[in-house]
Amino acid sequence: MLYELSEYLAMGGDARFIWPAYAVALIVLAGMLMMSVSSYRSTRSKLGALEKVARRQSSDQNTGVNQ
Amino acid sequence: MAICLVSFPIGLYLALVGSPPDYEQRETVRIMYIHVPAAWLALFSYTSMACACAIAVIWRHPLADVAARSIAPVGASFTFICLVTGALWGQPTWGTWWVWDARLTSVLILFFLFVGYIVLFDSFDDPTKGARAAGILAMVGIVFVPIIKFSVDLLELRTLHQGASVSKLSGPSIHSTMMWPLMAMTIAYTAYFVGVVLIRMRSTIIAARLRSHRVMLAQQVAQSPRNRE
Repeated sequence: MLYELSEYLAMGGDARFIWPAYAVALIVLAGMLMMSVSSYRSTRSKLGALEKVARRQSSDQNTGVNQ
Repeated sequence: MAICLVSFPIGLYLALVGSPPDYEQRETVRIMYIHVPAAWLALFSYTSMACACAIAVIWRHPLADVAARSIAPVGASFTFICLVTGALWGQPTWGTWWVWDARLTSVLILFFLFVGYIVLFDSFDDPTKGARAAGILAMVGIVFVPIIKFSVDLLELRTLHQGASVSKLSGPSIHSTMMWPLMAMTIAYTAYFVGVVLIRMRSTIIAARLRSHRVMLAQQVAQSPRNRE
């Protein structure tokens, strides 16, 4: 079992080309996805916080006008 | 993204376990399953980015600039993957990491065009001017797409790169055991491209709303009675 696994990982002596190629592809794709999702989440949370402040401010102004 | 999450593991399994080694290239042929779809998606990304830029320049549609700016880093990533995996495939197959032939050099120029577009877009204080200048660069750079596509067929004797095996007029000359993993990875890459570009577009639109809210809030604060006193 272990021998079969090590033989598979050796890729007929071409492991030093195949695994780095797959690693580069996966790292670049995962990195781009993570950067895009984190930037989307942080912008959305910032907008949410700002909208809350804007709503509070406009309701304060309305109460001020009513008083 | 759901299509990508399903097709990516299937593609990886078929590429690394389910497909046979090649009789000439042995196990190194497995690099093809991540290299070829990356090259296709790099060309597709550039073409769609240039189309979006043309729509932005001609019809001044604001969403077209957002789309083009969102596509650029994803396209640059696919081109980078194509170049690196190509070098890692070239060494055991050709005996060299790199040759300055038409195909490889034009793909390298494509990568620089993506990077140049991003840098030019972000280098202006006025985003409209940046989008316009970068859009013109992207539209001029579209000439490299047919050069890349036909560089091997036109300059067959002056390149180490092999010709097309899938997109041929006479039909694909690749065996189905290698075609399936290639198709699964292409579906995964395409779904990834659509998903990530949409996320980036949403993010850019939200960032624009954030900027306009900040300006409105600053104006409200400046006009409030307390500040006037």
